[in-house]
Amino acid sequence: MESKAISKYKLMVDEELMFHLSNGEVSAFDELYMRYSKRLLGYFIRMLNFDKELAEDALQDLFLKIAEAPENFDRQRSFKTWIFSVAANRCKNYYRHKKIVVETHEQITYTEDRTDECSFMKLAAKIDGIQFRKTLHETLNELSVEKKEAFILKYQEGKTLSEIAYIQNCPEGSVKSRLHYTLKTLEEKLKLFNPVN
Amino acid sequence: MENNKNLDEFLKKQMSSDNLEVNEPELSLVNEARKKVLSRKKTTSSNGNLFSFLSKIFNLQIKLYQGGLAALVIALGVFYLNGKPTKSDSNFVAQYSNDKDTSRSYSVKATMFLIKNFSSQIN
Repeated sequence: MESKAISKYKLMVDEELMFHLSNGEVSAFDELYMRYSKRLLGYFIRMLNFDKELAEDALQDLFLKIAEAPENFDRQRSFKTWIFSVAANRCKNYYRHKKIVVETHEQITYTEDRTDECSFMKLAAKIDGIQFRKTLHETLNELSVEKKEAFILKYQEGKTLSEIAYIQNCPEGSVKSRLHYTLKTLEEKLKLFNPVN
Repeated sequence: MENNKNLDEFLKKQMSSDNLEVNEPELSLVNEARKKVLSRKKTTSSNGNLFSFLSKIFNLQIKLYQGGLAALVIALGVFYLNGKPTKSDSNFVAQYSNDKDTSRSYSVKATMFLIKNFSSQIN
């Protein structure tokens, strides 16, 4: 009987599951948790500077909020974008209260508007994957929350510019410039491994 | 930036969740949230029942045979209670038949006659 109920919920789209959740169907809640918990935990881990305990707390809080007030979800919207906007707000609140990173950082200077793919890839190829990821994480942790968030949403979660704009509640142009700035900062960091170029 | 497909793919690979070595979070992490969802069911179901009951009344979602049956039961109940002569009713009838001589008006006499006939039929 229970397995039938579970399979029924597996076939439903997220928005339908939210409707059943608001009617007190715990299986609908479980299904949403199964679909998003791992991705959201990964998002929180990167956003909260690899503090897994803190990331789990954030995940717990997020699902508690959904359980308490599912009516906050606008059914006209996509659930997967909405849930990330709630997660992003959760991170912003955390940064605001705990001041987890220093927001002010040195502005990089660059002349080219576009990121040159070839030169970037050449720089990346000079170092191994582990070192690259370490540099990437260091760079992200030095950036402002918005820039870091835009980068994680695009490259970890595969969100489109318009989705990121909705999550961050800003125009698409701002998202583009945030991503561009992050790539340039990363490029400058990579140059340190290869000072000749 | 949009055209840098290789760069996008490369960064997506580096940023993949697989590199984080995150396990599937346990369901016990959200026990409190699950309880909240269950508590919503209780609230909504009791409200829902009351609401559906009221809507049934206001929309008259009662079938014809149910109405007919109810009317029949009520009618039988009324006849049973009114038809059964009680002690006080017998006294009342006797008192009126004894008082027939004292009554002068035609309508009262006619009523007395009817009551007398009725009581003799019952007895």
